[in-house]
Amino acid sequence: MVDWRLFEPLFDFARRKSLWIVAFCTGCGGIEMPPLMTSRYDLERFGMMPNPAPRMADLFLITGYVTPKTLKRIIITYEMQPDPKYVMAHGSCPLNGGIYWDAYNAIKHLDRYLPVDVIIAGCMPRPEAVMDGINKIMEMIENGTADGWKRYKENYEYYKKNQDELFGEGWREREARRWIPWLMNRKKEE
Amino acid sequence: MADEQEKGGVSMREQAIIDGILTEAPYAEGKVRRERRVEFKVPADRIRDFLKLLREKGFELMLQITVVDWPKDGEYELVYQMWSIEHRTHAMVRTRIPRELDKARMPTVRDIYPVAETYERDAHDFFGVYFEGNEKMEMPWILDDTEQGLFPYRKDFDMLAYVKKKYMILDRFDENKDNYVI
Amino acid sequence: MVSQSELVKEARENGMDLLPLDKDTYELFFGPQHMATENFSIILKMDGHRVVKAIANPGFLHRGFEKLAELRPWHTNIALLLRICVPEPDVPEAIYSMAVDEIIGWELPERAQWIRTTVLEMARVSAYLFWIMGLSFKLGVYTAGQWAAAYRERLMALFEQLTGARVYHIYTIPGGVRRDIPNDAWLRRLRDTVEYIKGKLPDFDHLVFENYITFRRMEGIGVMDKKFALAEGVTGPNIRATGVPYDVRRADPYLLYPELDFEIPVLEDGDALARALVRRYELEQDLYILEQLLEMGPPDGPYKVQDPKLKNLPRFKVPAGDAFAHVESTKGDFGAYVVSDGRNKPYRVQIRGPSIAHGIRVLEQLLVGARIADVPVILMSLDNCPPDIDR
Repeated sequence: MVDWRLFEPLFDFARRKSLWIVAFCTGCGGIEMPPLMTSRYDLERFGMMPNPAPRMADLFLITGYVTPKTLKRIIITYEMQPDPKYVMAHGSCPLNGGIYWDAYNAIKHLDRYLPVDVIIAGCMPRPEAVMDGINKIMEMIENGTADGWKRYKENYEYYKKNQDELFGEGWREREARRWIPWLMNRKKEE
Repeated sequence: MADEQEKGGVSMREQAIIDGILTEAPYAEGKVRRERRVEFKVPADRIRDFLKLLREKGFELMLQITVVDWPKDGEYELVYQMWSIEHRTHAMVRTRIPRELDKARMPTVRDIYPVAETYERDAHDFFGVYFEGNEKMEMPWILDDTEQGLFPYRKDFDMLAYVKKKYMILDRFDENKDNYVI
Repeated sequence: MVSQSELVKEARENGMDLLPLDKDTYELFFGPQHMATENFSIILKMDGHRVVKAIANPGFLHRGFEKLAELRPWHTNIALLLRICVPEPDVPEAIYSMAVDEIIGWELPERAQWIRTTVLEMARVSAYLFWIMGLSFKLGVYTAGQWAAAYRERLMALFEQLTGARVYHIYTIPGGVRRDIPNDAWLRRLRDTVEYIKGKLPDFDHLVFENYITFRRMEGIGVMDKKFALAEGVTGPNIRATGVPYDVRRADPYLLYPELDFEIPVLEDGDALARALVRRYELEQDLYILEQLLEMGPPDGPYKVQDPKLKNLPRFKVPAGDAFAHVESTKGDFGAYVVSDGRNKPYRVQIRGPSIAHGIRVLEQLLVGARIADVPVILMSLDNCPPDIDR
């Protein structure tokens, strides 16, 4: 039988040279995504491109601050991605709240809800700083230390406990069913 | 000399607009603030008649409904901001309603200006003002389900204590400090 | 360890399969994870590929600015409030500063007015180029999108030289601007950039605005008429495409606009193509305004009001009063209402973004009957900016 572990360096080379990004523009930093991907700071020369389907993507860029409403969708999208997957957060807001440290609707410490591999400093980071972070992720993939997805699987109870404390138990079903009464005009009939 | 005449001419134009409206609405007061800015004060139960009158007199756009919280007077001040393209003037229509949540009710103006539906949802979510006749009062607007009913923009909502309780970040921010300027 | 199949089984047991709404229709989340909307969600009730009912779902970017602004001093709020309109961050700075200037009642020096006008016009040109990039990516003309992003980068480099940052320039403050123009070479570079972009407009016309495919995709969808637009509080290029010549720079002039000569393009049709063409003509007019400003040249003098109160910014107090100020941005009529009660922090700051009018009710009514492939085009032609709605 073939021992696939012998091929890990080849797989890591393939993974880090063609990372696809989930197209989800989650916050302020989304304004620097188009300059990053177009002709001045060209990102496609590293093999990266944005892709709408989370099932086909490796890298999740959380560009800036995160509100609880967005965090629910980020978690659902993150869990839809196949392994191995990497998360990179931009700016000072996912780190400790940033400029919205006393706002009731901005997540202060993103690492409690989702495993983050690399955080880039800045408010908001320049495209060159983002490329520096991407370079770091590629080095981490080569070393084998980019293990956010392994941490998520092993510590799933910890992450689930934090998520449920913030959103309330059973938040997935509530979010999926939230708008049905309004689409069906059921509230008016009752 | 020409300056004074022009100044007098411009504010005369706004004064003429105010007089044209106040003759048909004796319950209101009006004032010219500067060129292209006028201000009206209306009691809360006559707001619908007044806005219907404004619509006929050429104020076509409603820009915003602002709620200002005055806890010392115990009142909410509602400012309806209107713009007239014909007269090139901005009008602020002010009313006052009581501040307690069960008494802060206003009639809706969405049949006069349909965009007011969105502005009233905004005022309801953040301040607790209930607009009677607006059927989208219970529809979720911007706040998530956890903050519904807390009315976060009121002056007695302690945001820092709420943040500490919700995100469970303890003993990072000094509660004795009043001034957070860095 | 939880695997994907276990999560799916758990979901099925809790009844989260795709259930039909009633006999013919289904629910579709045109959700935040989409390349066309920028973290904004629309809940669609679909019948096949036609939309039957649409509900706009904002709130993904809400940070509570109006409450946060009451806890910070007057000048610190500039760094906070400018994150309201992300593609065009000079506009919230300008309206807040104009409102505070009006409460205080001081007169700005001429150099400060010239610099503020130039910065606002540069922000408008870069926002229109960003819009052309978004429209091209949604129509499928990726070449024009790459061009627009590249030309916008030249303006970002100019902004960086003037203010120190590419996107969030914390530059316009109550009392003037923070720094002076660096040197004359900056003015020469701005003139070269304006000429360069003007020379490239025919290329955009060939690919996007005079293209038969654009006409087929955008003509006749998302139609609004004058009465509807006025009743729904629509402002900006959206209402100029229905025949109402309302532009804040002409109706309520501020800064140096009374002395500049420019036209306001007005079209009559009111569909998505008319809105796109109005923006294209306005880009040309904005470049012409920048040429006139550069010909005038910045007048000499101070760039800030010479007031000793401006030396100690944390203790800067504003007398009691209130004021309203508005500015024409590329999205529409951006307004601010500021109330002060004499302390060193504001009492109430309300920012009115233009997308609150045309992103909620207008969108819900224009989408009825549209095909699913037309939804991004209608959204882009209205130029919806979600942070305006959520603040």
